Amino acid sequence: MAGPEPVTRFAGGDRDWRVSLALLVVVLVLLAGLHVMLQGLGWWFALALLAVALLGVAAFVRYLSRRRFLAPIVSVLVLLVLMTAFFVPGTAFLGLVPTTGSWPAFGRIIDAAALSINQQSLPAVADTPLMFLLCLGVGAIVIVADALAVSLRAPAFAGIPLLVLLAVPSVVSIDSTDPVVFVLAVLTYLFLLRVGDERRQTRLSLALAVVVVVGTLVVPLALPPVSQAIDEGSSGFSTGVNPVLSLGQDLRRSTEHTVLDYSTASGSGQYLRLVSVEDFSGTTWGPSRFVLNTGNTPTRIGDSPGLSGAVTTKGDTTYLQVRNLTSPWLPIPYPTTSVAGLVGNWYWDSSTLTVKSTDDTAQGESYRASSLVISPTPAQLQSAGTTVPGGFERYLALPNSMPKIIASTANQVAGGASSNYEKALLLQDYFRNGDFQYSEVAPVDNGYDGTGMRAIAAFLQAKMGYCIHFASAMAVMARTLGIPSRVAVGFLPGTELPDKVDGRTTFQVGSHDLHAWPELYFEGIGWTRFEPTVSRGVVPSYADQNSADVPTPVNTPDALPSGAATPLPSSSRAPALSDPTNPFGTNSSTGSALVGWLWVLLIVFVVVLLLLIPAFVRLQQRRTRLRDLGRGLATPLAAWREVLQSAEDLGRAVPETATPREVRQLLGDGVLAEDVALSRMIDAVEHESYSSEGRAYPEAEADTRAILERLRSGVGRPERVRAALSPPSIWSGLLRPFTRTD
Amino acid sequence: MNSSDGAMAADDFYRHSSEIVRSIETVIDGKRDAVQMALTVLLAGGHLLIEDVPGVGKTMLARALAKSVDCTVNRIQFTPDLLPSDITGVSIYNQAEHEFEFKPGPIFANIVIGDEINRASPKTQSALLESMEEGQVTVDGVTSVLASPFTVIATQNPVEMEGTYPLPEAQRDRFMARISMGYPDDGAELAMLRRRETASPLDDLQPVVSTVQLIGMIESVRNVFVSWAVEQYAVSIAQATRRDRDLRLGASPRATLQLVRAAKARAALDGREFVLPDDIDALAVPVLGHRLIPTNRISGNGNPFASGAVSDIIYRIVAATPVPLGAVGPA
Repeated sequence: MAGPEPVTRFAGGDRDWRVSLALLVVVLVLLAGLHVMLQGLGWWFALALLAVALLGVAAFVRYLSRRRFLAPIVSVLVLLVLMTAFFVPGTAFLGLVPTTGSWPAFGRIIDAAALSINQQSLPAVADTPLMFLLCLGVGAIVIVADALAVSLRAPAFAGIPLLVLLAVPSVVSIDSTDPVVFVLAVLTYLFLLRVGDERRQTRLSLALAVVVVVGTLVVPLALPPVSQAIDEGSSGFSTGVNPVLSLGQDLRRSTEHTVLDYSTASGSGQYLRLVSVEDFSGTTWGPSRFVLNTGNTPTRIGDSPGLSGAVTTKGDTTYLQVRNLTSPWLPIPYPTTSVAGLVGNWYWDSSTLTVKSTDDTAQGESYRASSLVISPTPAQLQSAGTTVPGGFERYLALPNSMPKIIASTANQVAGGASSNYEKALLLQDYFRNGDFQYSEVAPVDNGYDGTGMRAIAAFLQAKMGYCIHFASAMAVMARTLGIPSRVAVGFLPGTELPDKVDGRTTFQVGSHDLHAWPELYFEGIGWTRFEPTVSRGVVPSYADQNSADVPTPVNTPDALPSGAATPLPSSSRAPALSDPTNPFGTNSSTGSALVGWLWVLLIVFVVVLLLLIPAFVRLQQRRTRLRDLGRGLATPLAAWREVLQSAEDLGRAVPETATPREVRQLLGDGVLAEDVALSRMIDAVEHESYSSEGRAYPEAEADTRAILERLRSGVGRPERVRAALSPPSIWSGLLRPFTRTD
Repeated sequence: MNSSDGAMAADDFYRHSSEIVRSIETVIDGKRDAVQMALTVLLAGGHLLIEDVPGVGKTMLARALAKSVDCTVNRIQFTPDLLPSDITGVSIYNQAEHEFEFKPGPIFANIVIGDEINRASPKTQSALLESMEEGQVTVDGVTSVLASPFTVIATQNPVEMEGTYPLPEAQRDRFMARISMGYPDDGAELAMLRRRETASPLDDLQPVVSTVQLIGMIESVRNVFVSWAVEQYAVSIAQATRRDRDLRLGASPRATLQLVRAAKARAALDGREFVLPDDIDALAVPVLGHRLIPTNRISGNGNPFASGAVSDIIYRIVAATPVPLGAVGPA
C-alpha cells in the first residue's frame, strides 16, 4: 500500500557501511568467477583492490556528505584517475590527471585489448591491455552497483549490473561457468539483500533476486557462444597466443578453414612450426618464453642449434601465403634460415627458431622462407649416443611430482636401449604400432583434454588421444630417459593441390592439419622431429622402421614386445589418477550422451526450481500470516492482505484505490456478497485502519481460511493451478515501483 | 463515543437524526440522498447550496429541514433590488431614547434560508457570504455575533437562467457542499400530487429536535475520530485536483478541511465513531464539485459551471487515488 517514503532515508550511517561491505563480498566472489577465463591470480588481486578502492571512496564520500549523487560522481573521477595513473601515466598531468593526450592513449590500449582478445584463447593471459578493459568494466559495474545498492537504497537492483559480471564467463563459453562461484555469488547476493533491506520491499527483493539468478542462467543459453561467433567470422581461424590450448578445440571443429597455401621448390611437403613448448611443468603448457631481440629480424635467422657440418643438409625454399590465421606466430619450416617478404615487425628467437610479431598477426602475410632439410643417417644418430651437452638441463627438466605411470612406462618400453636414438625409436614405435588409437573426442569425454602430466598419465591408460597427447607423452617419456626434448606445435604438410604455381608443387593447409609433434635433441644433429601420432603425419626417413638402414632396437631389460606394452593393470594405477577418471564409467559415446542429457535435465530442474521460488515464497507467506493470525500476533490487516493477494493470485485483482467496502463490491458477484466472514473482516480492518483504537478479532484465522476457500471455489481449476504455481501477486509486487504513478 | 461536553450518546444521536430524516421525508418524497446530504452539512456546521432548476423542491427541502429543528429560522428572498442592510439589519434613530438602535436583519437566526441567492446583486451576496464565514455582522461599527448554530441554506437556479448573477469562486468556496435535487421519479411525483391536493404538508411539520439537542449532535460530530490514513487520503485527493490537467482551479485547503468535516458528519449519521475512506469518496463530488473550475477544453461548450464534467473529473480522481490502509501515522 502506498505508505509514505520513510523520512529516515538519509540517516543511513552504519547501514551504508554494511551494505558497502556486503557489496564488496559479492564483487570479490564474482571476480573469482572470472578465473575460468584468465590465467594466474594477479588480476584478481588487482581488480579486488580496485573494487575496494572504489567502494571505499564512495562510502567515505557518503560519510562526509549527504548528497546522494556525490558518491558515484567522485567514484567515477577516482576510477578515471586510477586508470590514467596505471595505464597511461606518461600522458597525464603529474601522472594522475588525464590530459588531451590521454584519450588517444586509452584508444590505443583498447585497440590492443581487442587484438589481445582476438588472439588469445581461454584461459587468457591478463596482459596490460586486457587488464585495462577489465578494470574499466569492473570499475563501472562496481560504481553502478554501489549507486543502486547504497545511494538509491535498492540493493536488489544492484543485482542487474552484478549479473553482467556473473554472466561474462557463461557468455564467453557456456560450459566455463564455475558452479561453486555461481552458488557463492547467489548466496552473497542474498546476503546483500538481507543487509540492505531492513524492512522495505522484501517481496520485491526476493522476486528481483529470482529474476537475476534465473537471468544469469538463461541469458547465456539464449546467446550464441562467443567462440562460435569467431568461427564464422571473416578472420576465420585463430590460434591465439597459445596455440597449444586451442589445439584440440580447433581440430574438433566441424568446419574446416583453409589456413594457408604454400609451394616448395623441392616439391615435397613441409611440417610448418608455429611454436615450441619446452616447459612441462604446470597444468597447462604454453609456448617457450620468446626472447625478444630487436636485432633478430628474420632476413637472417641464426643457426640451428647443435647442427654440425657432418650431417647432410639440403636447402629448400617455401613460398607461403597465409589465408586465415590470426596468430602472432609465423608458420615456417624447421630450421628456417631466412624469411623474406614479411610486413610488420617480426623477430626470431635463437633457441626455438620461432618467428613472432610484436604487434601484428600472420593473417594475410605472403612470404618466402629459406630452410634446410636435414637428413641425418641412422648411423649419425646412433653415434650421438647418450651425451647431453651442457646448457640443456631445461630440456630435461620435469616437475617434481608426476604420475608414476609415465616414467615406468617409458622405462618398460625403452629403458634398456643402448642409445638415445634407439630409445626414441622404441618410444615412437610404442605409440605408432601399439594399441593406441587416434581420437579427438575421447580425451574430452574422459576429462583429460589438453596438456599436463595428468593428461599424459590418463592418455597412457586410455590409449586414446590426439596429436598433443602423443607428442607430449613421447616428449616427457624421452626426458625421463635422459633425452632432451620439446614439443613443436604447427601444421602438417597438408594436401597437395593438382595445380602447380610457377612449376612448384602447391600444398593447402587447413585447420584440421593443426598438429603437435615431439622434437628430440641429438648432439651433432640438433633438434630432430619424430612422429608418434598414430595414423597422422609422415614419419621421417631416419625414424622409419621400414627403412632398411634404420636399426631395430632392442630393449634389453624387459624386452617387452611393443604391442603388448601395457605397463600395469589399470586398476592398480587408479589411485594415482584422480583427475581423468570418468564418473560415468565407460568411454563410449552413449555414456557421454547420457552425461549431456543429465546436464540438460539438471539445468531444467534448476530453472524450474528457480521459477517456483515465487510459489514457495507465497506459500510461506500465507502460512506465516495464518499462523500469526491464529496466535493473535498479526493485525487484521495481515488477514486482509492475504485475502487481497489471494484474490489477485486467482485472477481477481482489486486495485489499491478501492476501499475495503468497495473491495467487497468488486469481489462480490455472488461469491462473497453476503459473506459473514468477509463482513467481519472488513469491519475489523476498518477499525484497525481508521478508528482511534483497533478491535479484537479472534476469528481472524478462521475467517481468512473461509474467505480463501470461497474465493478458490469461485474460479476454475486453471486459475487455481496458476495461483499455486506462479502467484501473480509476487510478480506484481516486483513491478509495483515501476507502475506507481504518484 | 467520547462524550465530552455537550456530546450525546450514540443511541440518541441515531434516534434524533432518524427522526429529522423521517420528518423531512413527509414533505419531500424519494430524495433520501439530498436529505441526508442536507442533514450532513447541518450537523457538520457548514452551509449548504442547493442548485437546481425551479420547482423541484429546493426551497421545500430547506424549509422542511429548518422546521424539523426547533430553532429560529429566517427566510430571505433574494431579488435584484435587495440591499445588504436588508440582510444584516439597520441602525434606526430611536427618538424616544435619542440614540441609534440596531434592528437585526433576517441573518440573525439559527437557520437562514437564502432563496434564489444568485438573483441578488453581488454587493448583497457578499454581505451574506461574509457573515457566513465570520459568524458575525458589523453594522455602523457595531459588531454583533450571529446565533449558534448558524447554517445558511441557499438555493440558486442554474446560472444560465435569466436574471442571475453567478457567485464568484471565493463565495462558492464558503459553502460546504452543493447538491442538486433532481426530478422525482414517477412514484414520488404521484405521491407528491396526492398529498399536496388538499393542504400544504409543510404547515403540519413539527420540530423533532430541540436547539440543545442539535448543538449536542454537532458536538458529537466534532468528536468523530479521523485517522491519519483518512486525512492522508483526503489530502491526496485535494492534491490530485490541483495537479489535474483538466482542472483550471483545484481544491482549496478550506475545501479539504470541509471535506473531512463533512465526512465526520456522514460517519456519525452512519453510526460510526470514525471516518472511513468511503465517507470521503461519497462526499467528494458534493463538497468539491462547486469549487473546481475545469479548463476551457472541458468546458468548451461555454458553460464553465456545468457540473457533469466536473463530477466526472472528480470521480476519475477518486478512483485513481490509492486508499491508505493500516494504522500508520506520519513517520
